[in-house]
Amino acid sequence: MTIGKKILLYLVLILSGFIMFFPIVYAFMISFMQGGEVLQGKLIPENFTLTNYLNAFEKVPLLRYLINSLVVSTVIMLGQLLLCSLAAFAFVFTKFKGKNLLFMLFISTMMIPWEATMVPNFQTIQSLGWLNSFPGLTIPFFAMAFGTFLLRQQFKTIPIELYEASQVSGVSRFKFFLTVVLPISKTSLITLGIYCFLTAWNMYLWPLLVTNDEKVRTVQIGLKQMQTQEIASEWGVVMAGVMLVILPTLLLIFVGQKRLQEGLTRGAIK
Amino acid sequence: MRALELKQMRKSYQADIEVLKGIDIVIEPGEFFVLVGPSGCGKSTLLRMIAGLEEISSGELYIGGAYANKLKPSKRELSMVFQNYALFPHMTVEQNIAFGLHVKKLTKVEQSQRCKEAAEMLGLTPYLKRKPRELSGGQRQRVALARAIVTQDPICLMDEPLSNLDAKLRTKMRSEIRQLQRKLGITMIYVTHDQTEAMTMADRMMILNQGEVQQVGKPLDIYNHPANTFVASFIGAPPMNMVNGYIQNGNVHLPCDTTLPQIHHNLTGEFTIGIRPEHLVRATNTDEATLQAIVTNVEMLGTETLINFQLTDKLQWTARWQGQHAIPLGEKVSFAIKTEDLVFFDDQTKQNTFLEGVEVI
Repeated sequence: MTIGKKILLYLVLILSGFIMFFPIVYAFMISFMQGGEVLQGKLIPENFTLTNYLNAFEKVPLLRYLINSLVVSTVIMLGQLLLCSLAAFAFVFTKFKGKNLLFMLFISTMMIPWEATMVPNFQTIQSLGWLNSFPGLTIPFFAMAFGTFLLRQQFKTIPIELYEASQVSGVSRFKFFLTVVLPISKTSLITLGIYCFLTAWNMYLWPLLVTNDEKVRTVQIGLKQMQTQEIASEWGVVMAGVMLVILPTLLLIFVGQKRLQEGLTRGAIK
Repeated sequence: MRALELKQMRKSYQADIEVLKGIDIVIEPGEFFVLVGPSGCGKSTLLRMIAGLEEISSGELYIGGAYANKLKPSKRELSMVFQNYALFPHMTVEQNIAFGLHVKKLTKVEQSQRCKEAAEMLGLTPYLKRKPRELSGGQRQRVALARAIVTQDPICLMDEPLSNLDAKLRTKMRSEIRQLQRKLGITMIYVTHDQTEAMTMADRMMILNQGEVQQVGKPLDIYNHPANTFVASFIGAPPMNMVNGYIQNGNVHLPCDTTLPQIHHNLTGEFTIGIRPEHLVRATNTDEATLQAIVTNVEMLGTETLINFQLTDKLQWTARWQGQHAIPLGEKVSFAIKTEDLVFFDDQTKQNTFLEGVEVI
């Protein structure tokens, strides 16, 4: 590739990168703007102050929401990892009649949109008295067909001889799961964990439905609250909130990026 | 040391398809017993049934005299080595060897003691802290062996343990496994598709084909007196030469216009006649019966030479001569044949006529 071509390529890349990233940069800029600056159509604030950030914490209990979101996302992530890995283990390493049929049925639930099950789920949660509680926010998400499918594919790459070797040496099934299957599948588990966490973090509709108490509300609802609190929204404050909310997401992506890539490309390389 | 007894062991995955069609065998304590046969003959299935990894469809299994059909694999007091070694990739060599020892109710000290002994015996001591992927094929094989012997179980099962190694290493490991088995006195059941492994390692071997026992016996007995044409062609490399011929008026007639006097048999009729390649020697003037044929290929291996020649239009035979013989292709060569080297198989049943009426052990 000649130098000219290279320059052109990088220009195109930078341009596309800028277009992709523009909304975030703009939001970041707005989060420092005062009052009318946004409406004047400015791109860069006059001066960078943290007033909006302080306001964000004052107007709504943002810290409370952040902690709630963290708890809910972590619990959903752990629950999903636990249930999905156990289900996948059963689908790979145990023999029972109708295993394939059951798995097909399991997978077919991926085709049912979440919105379709929302009403029955809500009624269940309501009748259990779990409205405005962490169980109501987390437990409906524990079983996930996608996670089970992903882990099943990973577990299937583990040679069956490893399982047989453990059987011959008298190691129990559960111990085999703990000491062999889980450590070998570390990468996939981390990938799935990050995916679950982010999905749970970005959840909006379900927390809105089952909570009306700020003690358990999550951060996405907090943002919406900020926006609608007054007739004329203070965009600067809202965007400051947004920045605070996407921070954990970005952190997680940076930390987990390498793992995520490994996990996603693993099947392709082998 | 522990004996094993199989009575009419059968395996079928579907109602009417039998993979194993009634296997009867007694394996003596401390014996090196080899199960050999072509791919798909059921030898691995049989081994896995002994290990308890496959259910026994019908028949009985006795381990050390005790009925073992329903025992869990771990209760059968046996160890197993798998074809792909089944090492745990995330554990060190030491952890791999000690895996499963904790269920034996040993103290930590005893566990590490045993682990060290096994590693010592197989020359793995320098590698104890390494992961399996940092080891060569031969070393991985040794780790798998160490894991099998560290449990000190009286029976060890091996499922084609050497097939992933290169030829040179295979020969070396062959003798190592054999020595290890003698030293520890374990009863070994060894599955292979390689007849050389079977011949060189076995105290006794069983040849299986399509789920049926073809012959059981000592390697040399089987080589010298194959029970049927399948065994004759499976055991020995290159395999036994065979052709359809007949005996009439006390003479053996081969389709290549060669006639030999019949001596120790009193047979007559059509037969499949076999002869080992090493018995087709170069003819001298004094030989009575000779066979002349056009040479089609010559393989010189240094100590011996393999000569392929056209016996009839459609059939090629192989002769094995000691030493180096540079024979030009297309030349007509005379081979001497002795009647006592011929093996006669019944034309219909393909059974060795010599063994008929003689009990096959």
